Order: sequence, then structure tokens, then C-alpha cells
Amino acid sequence: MKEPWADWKVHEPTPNFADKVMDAIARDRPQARSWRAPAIVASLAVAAALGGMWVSQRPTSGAITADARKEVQLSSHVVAVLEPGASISWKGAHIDQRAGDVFYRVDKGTPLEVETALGSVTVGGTCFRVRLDSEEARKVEDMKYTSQAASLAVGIALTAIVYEGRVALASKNGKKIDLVAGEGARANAAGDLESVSEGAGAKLSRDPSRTPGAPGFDWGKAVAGYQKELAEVEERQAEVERELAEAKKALLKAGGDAGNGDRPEYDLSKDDWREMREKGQVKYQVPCDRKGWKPSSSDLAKLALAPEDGEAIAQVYSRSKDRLWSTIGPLCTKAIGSASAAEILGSDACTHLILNQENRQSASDAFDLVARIRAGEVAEPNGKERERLNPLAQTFLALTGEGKAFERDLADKFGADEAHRLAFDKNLCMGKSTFGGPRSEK
Amino acid sequence: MLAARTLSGGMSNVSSLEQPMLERCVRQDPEAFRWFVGRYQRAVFSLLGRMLGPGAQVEDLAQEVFLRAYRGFGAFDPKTNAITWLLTIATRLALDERKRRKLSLAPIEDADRVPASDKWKARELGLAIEKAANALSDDQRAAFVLLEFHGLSIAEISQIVGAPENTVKTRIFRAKEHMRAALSSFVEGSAS
Repeated sequence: MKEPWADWKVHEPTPNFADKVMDAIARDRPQARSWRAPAIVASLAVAAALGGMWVSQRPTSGAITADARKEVQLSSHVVAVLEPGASISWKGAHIDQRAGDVFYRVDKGTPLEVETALGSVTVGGTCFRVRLDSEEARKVEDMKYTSQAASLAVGIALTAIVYEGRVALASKNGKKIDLVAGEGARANAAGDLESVSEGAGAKLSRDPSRTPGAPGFDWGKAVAGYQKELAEVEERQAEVERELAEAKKALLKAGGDAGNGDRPEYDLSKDDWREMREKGQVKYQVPCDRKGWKPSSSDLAKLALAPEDGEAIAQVYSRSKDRLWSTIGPLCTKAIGSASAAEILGSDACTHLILNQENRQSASDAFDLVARIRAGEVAEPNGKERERLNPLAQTFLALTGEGKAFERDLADKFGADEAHRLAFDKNLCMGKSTFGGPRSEK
Repeated sequence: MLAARTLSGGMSNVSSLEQPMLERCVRQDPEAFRWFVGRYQRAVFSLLGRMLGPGAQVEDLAQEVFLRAYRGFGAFDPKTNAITWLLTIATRLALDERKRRKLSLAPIEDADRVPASDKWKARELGLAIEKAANALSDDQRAAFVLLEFHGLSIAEISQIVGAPENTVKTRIFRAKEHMRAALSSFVEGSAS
């Protein structure tokens, strides 16, 4: 008997609740993860300190080739740290980097362009590094704009790594890429651009302000720098994982194998059907044939559904049962000559009865046809064409198509992703069958 | 303390589709966590609504539940049952909230004064259920809601509320006895 409290109404989630939670999480994040503002402050602080030191010798133009690591204040808002062998000349906001590995710290809002033989980097407030292979770059520099440059410069690359803010890297042939913190890109002599991974970035020396003994080094800034870098790596990792999940989903949708072993056995792709055709098999999963089946409150909890969802699930089951019976019922009635007897047998038993009426060859032909249709090798027959098929093929077409139809009905109530999860959740009552092939089982 | 026990001892019935998403939640992937909120928000609202009654504090508390889940995901084992873990957080928060505010829930209208037309019947029953549930102790109410509306086992409820299984059984028995008595007129009415 139904308990009187079964009608205790549920409190429905408020609209956009997930958005509100995500906003609350963003506000709740520890300051260490919100690194951008402090980093800019740190950058300004370094610039201010260095600015004081360099105030009397702040040239607006000049040139330098470093024989050891060297920090140079290029203007009141721009600091460059040159690694040994690096060579630059500058005039106002324009820097010509001829060779080597140079780290730049630029105050927010300060325009700057670093030009090299292989391309240029344009910024407006950031920390970034530009590296140019010195010997090879010199060759390119000497042959600048000549047709030989590209062929001689195989393997040469201009690499830009961004620590803070945003920069634009443009190759000599006009290709352009925008980079944000944590990203890097390489331009080769042919003018092609490619992203460089964190690994490639790591090969370059780090921000000199984090190198003990280097000019401007400070343990506080070093710790802040590492925390910032860690946060960037985590963000990037999350991004890559999201992209991977989306790619896997797209691959599965296209009928491929995402190679993660996550796909349920009865979530069949076109490749699966091709394989089954070769084995002479047909298999399917359909909602169980129990009259009026409805998930219990325990089932619903295991399905992570609210108690109120039970009715929706029951309705989808009922529609599935009616849909299958609209095909199998008349075929079964015809086979045994009695509608009421067919009704008593139900879909499962009727399927076996229809199968037993076919000889081995016609059953095998029916399996082959169904597998070809599901593999996409043969167009799915329409209503009239279906009626001309033999009863077994009609039955198995209905059964093998029911899984998707059931999922579509679930999607109307729960959305596509949730429907897919539910359709293959072991806590739903599903009948799974395999027919044909070397070993027939039910 | 209680949550930690549940974390390590939860049931392992996580679907293969769900586990990768939970693993991403453990790594605090915002996209995955948004999925997690969407997936479990109804269960959380359902529990809090029945524990606290109608009112705006349900949404605030639900947000707090998910915030705590987000912060606590680092210690969560994705192979264990996420719903039990989440309902543990929600139940503890609801019980704390009831104690802290000494909740005076939204005033319950006297069911006798509500017109007994068909239009009002559902509302009448709803109010009577709220009123009957308000007479339960907090612990009885939590055990009753978790069993009846979330399908948890006595062992799981015992873990969540931090009480021995026999105590939980007694609480549930008393709660049901009270609810049946308080709502008996509705049972008879629906049978006639």
C-alpha cells in the first residue's frame, strides 16, 4: 500500500543553479590561484625598483650583446634579461632581436614590438621570452628577404613563450597567432607557426627573477612565480582533458573507438555491426519486458535520480514496450493464429517463436541483412519496405533499433547526455540478447 | 570526521561512464564539476527541502553543499558512491542548520481549515505532511528522509548520521509510526 507521505513534494532546484554554484566557487577560490592581479603588481614593483636603479641611465635607444646573463632597462616600462649570446638593439617601443634568448617584462599598457629575422612579437603588458638560435639566426639575418633563406634555415625557429598577459606572434609571411599565459609558439624560417608544448617551454630557462643569484631575484617572487606557473599548468591540464573528452565523444559519435574501454558492451558502433555481420551475429539491448516496470526508490538513488523521476522512467518503458509490440505483436499473432495467445507470450517469447519458424538459411540471411543495415551498408527500409521483409528480419530490425529509440525518449525528459548514461546504467531493467554466430545465447 | 569515514567506505557502484567525470572533479575541473552539480542538484534540493521545509534557505544550503563538495573533492575516491558522499554533506549541513537556527519552519496552516475540495486536497496533504514531519526529532527526520526518499540502506544512513544501525532502525520505526498516525485520515480518505 502506498504510504501517505509518498506525496511529499520535492523542492525543485532553482533555475541556473549550476551557474550560481560555479560563480560561488569562483569567488571562493584561494587567492593563490587568482594569480594575475598579484603578478601584475609584482611586475610593476620590479619595474619600479629597477626603474629607480636605472633612472639616470634609461636610454630610449641602444644596442647590446650579452656575454653573460644581463638585465637591461630598455625604458621606464620595459626590462629585458639577456642570456649569454643574446643580442638586441632598441629604439623606443621597437626592439630588433638579432640572436639569442631574451626574457622581457613589460608593464601593463605599454606597447612593444620585438622583431626578429623570423617574425615579430607584439605585446601590451606582459612577461614573455623570445628565443632565436643565434648562429643559424645570424645566417637568416644576413640573408634576410632572399629566396635562399628558407632552404638554409631548416630547423631554425623563433620561439615565444608567454608567462603573463597576451602577445601576438607573427611570422615573416604574415601568419599570426595570439598567445596567452602558459602558451608558446614557434615560427620557422618558412613562415609556418606551430604551438609549442609546456615541455618545449620548459626547455627554455625560466623567468630569471626566479633564478637564485640572478638580477632581481627574490624568494618571495620566486614562490609566487612557481605558484602562478602551477596554476597555469593546472588550468591547461583541465583544458586538455576537456578537449580529450570532447574528442572521444566525437569519435564515438562517428562510430570509432575512443580506446578508453568506457563504452558499454551493447552501445554498438557501425564497426561493431560490421564485425557481427562477419560472425553472423545480431545482438541488442532493449528495456525489459516486465509489465509496468518502474524503478524502486533504491534503484532511483543508485541511478542518481530524484524519486519524482520514477514516473518519467516508467512512461519511457511503457512507450518502448508499445513500440516493440506494434511490430512483434502482429507477426506473432500471424505465426500462432491467436492475438490473445500472442499477448500472453509477450515480446521475448514471441521473438523466439518467430525465430523458430525460420530455417537456418533464412535466419542467417535475416541476421546478415539486419547487421548490414545497422552497419550503414544498406539503407534502413521504410514502413512499406519493412513489411515486405521476412518476419524475422522485421522483428530483429525492431529489436536492434529499440535501444536508440528508448534513448531518444529518455533524452526528451533528461537531456541527451543523461539519457545515454541512463540507457546503459546497470540499475535500469534491460534485456540483453545475442543471436546467431558460432555460439547462440540468450 | 564522519565524511572521512564515508569517503573511504562508500559503496562501489559507480558507472563506468560516471567515473571519469568524478575523476575530473577530484582534479577540480570546473567543467566536470558543473556536470556534477547538474547531475545531483535534484537529490540535494530534495533532501534539504524535506529536512528544512519550504524557504529560501534551501537554495543557500544547496550552494553550500556543493561548495563543500568542491573543496572536499581532493579527498574523494571516485570509485565510491558520490551520492552517498554528497548526501552525507547535505544531511550534516541540514542538521547543523536546524540546530543553529532552532528552526521555526514556514508556518504550517491548519489542515482542518483548508477547504476539502479536490483542488485543495493535494495542498492539504502537503501541509499535513510538513506538519507531521515537524513533530519528528531532527535525527528521526534525517533517517526517515534518507531511507524513504533516497533509498539508502540502514548501514549507509548509520554512516551518514554517525549513529549505530540499531539506533537508526529505531528512529525510522518511530518516525514512520508517527507519520502514519498523523496522516491516517488521509489514508482512509484515499481508500474510500
